[in-house]
Amino acid sequence: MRIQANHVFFSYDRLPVLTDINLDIREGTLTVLCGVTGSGKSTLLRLLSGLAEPAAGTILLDGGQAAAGNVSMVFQQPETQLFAGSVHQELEYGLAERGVPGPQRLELIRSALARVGLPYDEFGGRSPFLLSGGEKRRLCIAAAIASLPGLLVLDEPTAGLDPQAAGSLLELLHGLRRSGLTLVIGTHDLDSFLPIADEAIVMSQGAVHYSGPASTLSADPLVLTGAGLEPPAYSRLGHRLRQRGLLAELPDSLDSLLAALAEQPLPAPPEEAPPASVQIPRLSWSGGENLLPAKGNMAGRSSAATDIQTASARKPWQRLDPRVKWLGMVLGTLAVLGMQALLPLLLASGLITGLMLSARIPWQRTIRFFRPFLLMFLFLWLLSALTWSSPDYKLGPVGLSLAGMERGGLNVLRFLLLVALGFLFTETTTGAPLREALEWGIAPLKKLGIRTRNWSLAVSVTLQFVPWILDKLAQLQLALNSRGRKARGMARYTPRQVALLIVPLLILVIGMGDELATAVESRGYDPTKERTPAYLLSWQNRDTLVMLCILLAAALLWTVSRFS
Amino acid sequence: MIRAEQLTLSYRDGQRRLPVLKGISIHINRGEWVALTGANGCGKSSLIRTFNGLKIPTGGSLSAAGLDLRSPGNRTAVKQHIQLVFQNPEAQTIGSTPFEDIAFGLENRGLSREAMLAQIEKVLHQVGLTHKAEADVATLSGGERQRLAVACCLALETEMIIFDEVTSMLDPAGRRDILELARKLWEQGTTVLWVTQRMEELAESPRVAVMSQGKILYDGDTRTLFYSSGLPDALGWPSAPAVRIGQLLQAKGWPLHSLPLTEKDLEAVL
Repeated sequence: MRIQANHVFFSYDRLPVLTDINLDIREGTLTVLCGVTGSGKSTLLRLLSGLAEPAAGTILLDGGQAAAGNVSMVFQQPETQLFAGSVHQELEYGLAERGVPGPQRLELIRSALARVGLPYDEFGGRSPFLLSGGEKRRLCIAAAIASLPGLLVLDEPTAGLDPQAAGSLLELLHGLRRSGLTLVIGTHDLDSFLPIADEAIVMSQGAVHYSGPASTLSADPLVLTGAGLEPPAYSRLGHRLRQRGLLAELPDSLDSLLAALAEQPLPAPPEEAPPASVQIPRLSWSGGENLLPAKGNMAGRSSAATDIQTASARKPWQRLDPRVKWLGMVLGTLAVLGMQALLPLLLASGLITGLMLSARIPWQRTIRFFRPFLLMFLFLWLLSALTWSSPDYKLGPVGLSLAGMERGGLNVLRFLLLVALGFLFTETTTGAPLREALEWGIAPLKKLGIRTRNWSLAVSVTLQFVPWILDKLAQLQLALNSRGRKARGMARYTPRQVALLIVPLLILVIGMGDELATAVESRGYDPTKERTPAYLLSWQNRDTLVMLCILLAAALLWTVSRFS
Repeated sequence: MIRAEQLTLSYRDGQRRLPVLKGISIHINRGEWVALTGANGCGKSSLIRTFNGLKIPTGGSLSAAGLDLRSPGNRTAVKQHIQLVFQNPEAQTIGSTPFEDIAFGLENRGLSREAMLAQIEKVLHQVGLTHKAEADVATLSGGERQRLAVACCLALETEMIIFDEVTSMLDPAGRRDILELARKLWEQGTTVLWVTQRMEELAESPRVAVMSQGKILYDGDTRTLFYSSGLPDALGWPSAPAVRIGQLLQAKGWPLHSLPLTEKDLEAVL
């Protein structure tokens, strides 16, 4: 499949990520896409696979828009893109989404599994979650190629694999290329991929730094160093061997370097050997001085600047004693739970919105946090309005009831307010103050034999990982989208979608919990010992003032909800 | 630093016991840099977790930092001397800022608050994260998170750091940073056990231990491993480029005064 990008722009949080990208990738080629972290590589991969839309410009596939199923993407972590109970179902899901009729599916599944070296008879019934790292990667590729796409996009396909698994995955991709599939591979591993690539694209600071034959990168290391990348080892070594007259030309792979060196009649070695190098060296790190990329790239610099800005804007909130914030959250939660009518709920909504504005939480962050909740709640709301018995509006066999809608709407609003309170609290309080205040608050429970220190630690670590969980959820959604259905809005939370997401999400969360528990233990955490807190609780006059305001607001809300 | 003799470990799987470590003997001296490698599932992670008391061996003897790890009390005490940096940069930050994360490990040390703050400041500076002390950890790059994990070890004034495939989820820049940091610490006297699957990282270690299916297949000099043990071929490793060139030059009769392992070695040889 031929891919043409014309004047493509993309930005994220109003920061330009890609500027004026122009590409023409020929059908049946293997293209390596490289660049330092933050160069726009991953974003470009998503645009090429149709998982994101350019802000400006066009991406044409074979001169037009891609048909469903014609582009597939494989992401870096297999853990965030496997869903089903068996290898067979994993592949069947994508085929079903892409409208392949049932009877044709088995043949496509068998053939895709055969192509990646996972024979159907052996692997078809096994659980994807119990495969080895290398097998999971292969399965992801099988799921991507089952629908016979014209373009396969891969992000870091060999990262984290052991040498044998990485080697055989490379073979597999090389085989796919030979079979005529067009491949675009985003990678840092130039040593492995440049030798098998036809074309290469080097990204730097959101723009195309180089686009052309892959062999140029081996011949001219400056193209890579100019983009902050290190040339592959064979290219660095070839460069030096040539300087010493041991090679006639720069090699395009380690194998060609070895072959050329083997043919070369070697000149006599220099007579006086430098004595220092005879000893076993202390660790010596690779890379010649002239070829090493400049240290410290653009990545991260702009984000550091924004961090500092937002941190100073949130100061007044962070200066508050965490106990007063806990009090606000607990009273706020109780008040909201006691509300049955619209008026107090609207009043509380107004109050919480005002507080959120005053905390100056970045807008994009708020949207990212609330998006999954909003859609899920909207769905619940519709569900609560459905009725069979006494519908106000009929929609075929079911109907919608106004009373149900009202009841559901109020409940959803209450939930949203609770989520907003939690969000406001965690966004303005870091882990240590949150934990100290909680431990102070539940200290009396110690007398009952409850391990308050463990509890406060567990709560603060869990709250800290809510954004991580939402992030993983987004990655899983993206992977589901890449299997064919480009679900947007509410369609992302149909019961079927949710059922598919829940198992991998649980596995990720449990795995994370396990690793964190090990990390806690490894640091020598001992709840029985006296501890020195890094954060000291200190109650100031402003905290008393804020406490009075909270009590007043809670009383007001309670009164309004009582009499409305 | 570490003395393991005939160490065994097995997990219960229903009625059966699955052996993970099958009689491992290894000695690591104070101030050494040892690389440990082996395919996924060979038992590397279990082995290193026994070294700082996170896993309890089912048999054999093990002492670390002079403490006999058969006694439960020592398994807590050993964590003051030996610390682990884990593979996944996301799954080892317990605080929500670098400052809080380092403070977490220091809380139980019976330090005064002033001493604790001074210590945090010192190690943040050592790993180059002073300017990010109050940043949300979620905004740190993978490399920065790994450096933070090292800072947490340093805060505990640990004598040995075990790096468990810490570069496998990092980009080349992050990988270089953490390697340089580890090397600096090693030069200052920290004992390092560097677990990796990357050939170029093995080639740069003076001593390598190779594990397979719960056993140690090789433990010794890196040159012998790559040039005369025959093991890399048997295991299907793609040896580091400098080694393959060295092997070729050796086969062609080029008189090598030293067998190259790294690019720098090769440079010196030529």
